[in-house]
Amino acid sequence: MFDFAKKAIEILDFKKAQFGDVRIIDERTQFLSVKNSNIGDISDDMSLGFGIRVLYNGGWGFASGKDMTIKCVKETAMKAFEIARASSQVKKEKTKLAYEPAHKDFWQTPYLKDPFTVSLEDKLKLLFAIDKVLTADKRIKNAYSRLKFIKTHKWYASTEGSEIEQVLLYSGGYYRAVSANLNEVQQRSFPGEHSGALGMGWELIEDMKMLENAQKVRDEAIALLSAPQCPSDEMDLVLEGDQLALQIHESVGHATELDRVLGYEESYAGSSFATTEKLGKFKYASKIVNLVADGTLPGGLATQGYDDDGVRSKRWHIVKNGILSGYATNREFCSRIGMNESWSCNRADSFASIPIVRIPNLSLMPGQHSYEELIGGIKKGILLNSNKSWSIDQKRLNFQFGCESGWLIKNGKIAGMVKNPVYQGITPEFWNSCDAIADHRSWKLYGVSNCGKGQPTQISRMCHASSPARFRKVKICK
Amino acid sequence: MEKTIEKIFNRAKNTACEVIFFKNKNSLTRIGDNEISQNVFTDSEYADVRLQKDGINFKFSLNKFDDESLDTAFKNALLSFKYMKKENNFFPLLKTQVKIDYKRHYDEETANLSPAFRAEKAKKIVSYCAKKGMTAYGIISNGSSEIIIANTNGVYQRTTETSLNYDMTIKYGLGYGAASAYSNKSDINYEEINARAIEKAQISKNPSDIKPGKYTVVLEPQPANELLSFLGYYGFSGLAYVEKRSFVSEAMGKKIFPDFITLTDNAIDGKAAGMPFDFEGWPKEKVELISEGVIKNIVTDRSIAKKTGFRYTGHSLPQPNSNGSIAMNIEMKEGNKSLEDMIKDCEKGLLITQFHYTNCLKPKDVEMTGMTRNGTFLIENGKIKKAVKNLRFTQSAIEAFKNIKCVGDKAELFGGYFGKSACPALTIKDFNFSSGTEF
Repeated sequence: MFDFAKKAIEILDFKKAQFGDVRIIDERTQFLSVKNSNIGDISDDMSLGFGIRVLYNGGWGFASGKDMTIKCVKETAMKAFEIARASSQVKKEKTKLAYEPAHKDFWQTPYLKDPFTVSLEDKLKLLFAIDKVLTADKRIKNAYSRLKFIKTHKWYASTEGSEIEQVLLYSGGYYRAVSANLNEVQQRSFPGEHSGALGMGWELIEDMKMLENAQKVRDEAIALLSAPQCPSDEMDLVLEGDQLALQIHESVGHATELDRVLGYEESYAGSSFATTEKLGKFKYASKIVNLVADGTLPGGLATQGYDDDGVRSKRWHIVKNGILSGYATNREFCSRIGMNESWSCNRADSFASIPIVRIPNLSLMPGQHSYEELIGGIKKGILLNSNKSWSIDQKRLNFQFGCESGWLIKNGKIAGMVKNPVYQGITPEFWNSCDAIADHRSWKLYGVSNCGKGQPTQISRMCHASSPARFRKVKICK
Repeated sequence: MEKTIEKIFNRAKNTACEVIFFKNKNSLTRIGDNEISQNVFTDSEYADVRLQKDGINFKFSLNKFDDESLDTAFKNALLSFKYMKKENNFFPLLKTQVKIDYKRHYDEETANLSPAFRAEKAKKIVSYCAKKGMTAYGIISNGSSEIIIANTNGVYQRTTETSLNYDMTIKYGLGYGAASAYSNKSDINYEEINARAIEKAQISKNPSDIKPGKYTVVLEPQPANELLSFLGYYGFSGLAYVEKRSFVSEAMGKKIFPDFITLTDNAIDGKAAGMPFDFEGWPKEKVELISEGVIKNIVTDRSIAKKTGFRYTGHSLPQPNSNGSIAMNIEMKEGNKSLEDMIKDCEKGLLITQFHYTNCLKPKDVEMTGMTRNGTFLIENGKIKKAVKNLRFTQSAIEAFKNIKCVGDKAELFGGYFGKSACPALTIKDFNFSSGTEF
């Protein structure tokens, strides 16, 4: 494949491109779902193609091609070049990339068992077994379970001499039970609406205990139909699991993508309150909060050897002892905050997409408390852990998240389940109200597989590890 | 494409086979911080192949059509059949229908707008903004898409469309303004879009505080379309109806909205018309969802039609599919007042330019939340008095539609997640804003 990539590089060199790179991606995706005792989806998809990025006279151009022929690579390179030339006509300053040495390397996701070697029969057997448990009660109107596996083989070559080959593996499992009566619809999912996938092999599916948890999920979905409505009040909140992952994702992850901070996403996803003059000063959170970005995190969905800028993966603080300490960067923007090298966050979702700054694996570091101490320290509060709805404003300040269910806490003890809990807040106020984080014993990775950003929209993946955390005086709504 | 489909059919031999072939060419120039920040062209084609054997479906997708790739894909697919069990809800591939070759929304000029053309449009707005101390952000995108649906029973349908999208956001001081247009041909008035976005940004320069609460709102077509799209998706999807997850499950045949509310899914000749057949190749029917306030129909695929007794309306997604049938060409019947008159008729209320990051809290109530964006204005005595800071709304779309007081006279076209929609401006009373933000 590198011989093929070199053809494009030769053209870009000949045309005197300031910089250029080629990504060739060969990807296989297997997706199976069972819905209400029927096969919902079953597919095995393969795609191969390449994307060429050109920087010419300070302007970017990108074009993708699908035919692995010399003719196609030449035409695509010329198209990218033509686009870059047009871009250079409307630039305030010529784009320059931060230095990165040329790398020649191979990297792959560590795994124990390749999920593509596991038979469809075994996969469907698992899904139908889960379905049988979920549909055993007629009040469940919609039972849905799925498995998804992606193997991405990519080759990266640049005009600077990099030649990087990587094989990335994604495995994921998920299910939900939806109950309904005349008045309402309720849902419980496992392990959560956005989670269930990691950068691992089939061993993840074996470890998740999907079948073992199905009855609990079904029973909770049914119990929610008759559960009391969540009260509206200001109370203490314990967040955990999938919901804490989403809180990190929406109110810290997106808020600290440097392209967004600089305004380049303004017309679509929005910008950010966490502007660059606040770096190193702004009290984003209470001092016990440490949020660490890590492209090397084992099992992370954004874990890889190198990003799509050809920069080696790194680990750094986004929030350190409560202070805004870093951003997600690429080679184009990192100099705008005085950095000489990128933190390696430029990723594209396919060969046909241009790399853009994406949230890395971003985790809340464990605290000092036991889980019991977190709950025990609350007189009146609520525990939330499974996301159902999400919305946040265009500067990532005002958020409102809804969960599948909540558990009221009274005098340090769980006092029963309530339905339709929603909480609302302003990002820095919320994170500054965090007064306790559970210790390493409950620290766990949660994958996010559906992060949309950019125009044309790209879907990216990352992880947010955390242990449960406590927030004081949060606005809980119906 | 035809030759590739033939190659695929030849490999299927005695197995029933359906191919959905997608071919897309899209260009997008992105403007950020008064410059072109991204500029891309993508050229993709791929085929979704469905094989049927012994009451079982198996699908694969690929974008490589050489003999070796096709042979491997078929070998894996046919091997997979032996691990699978007969489906309870199996439908054989459709038989020959009237052949459709739909090109009504294809425009050669729009398909081929050059990078230089887009750069020129970008330069115009960027130069103006730079001179006036404003900042421009937005996109100009154009492209073409072609879909062929063919099967070994003789179905062969084709649709080819072009699209052009111009979306501009202007920042001025602390304020924002935005305007956009979507079309299938090159008839967008760029200057008008620029002028609207600039004017809104100028008025929004110093937005005032405003308390959350219930307000009469005049929703411009974009935020009105957000409500319409959620109501269409959560209310009139066939499977949500069957599984009683939709408010329509209990409201069929009942009058729950005002007389002047009529919603139609119309892929044939409506304002949001498009692909006139579904993903099994069946011609789409025009479906009246709400007629003069009365809930009339849902959209169906074969499975939903069988379960409900409703006609098969041609709204199948690619099969097998866990999402059921979805209305993809919804339009709302226009009223007779201009947006300007709707503002004049409003004694006290808010004019909303856009909603941002909307999501559903309670599917059966279609209770939604989201933020206002890019121009939120207080109306007093029929006039825009001042810009206000953005608000979060938490509101049932069903209740909002019950509270519609006026429907605008001009429906705008939108390209969305599920097809297209056409929606006019709406005046709605008692619209609930649950909290505010800092800007």
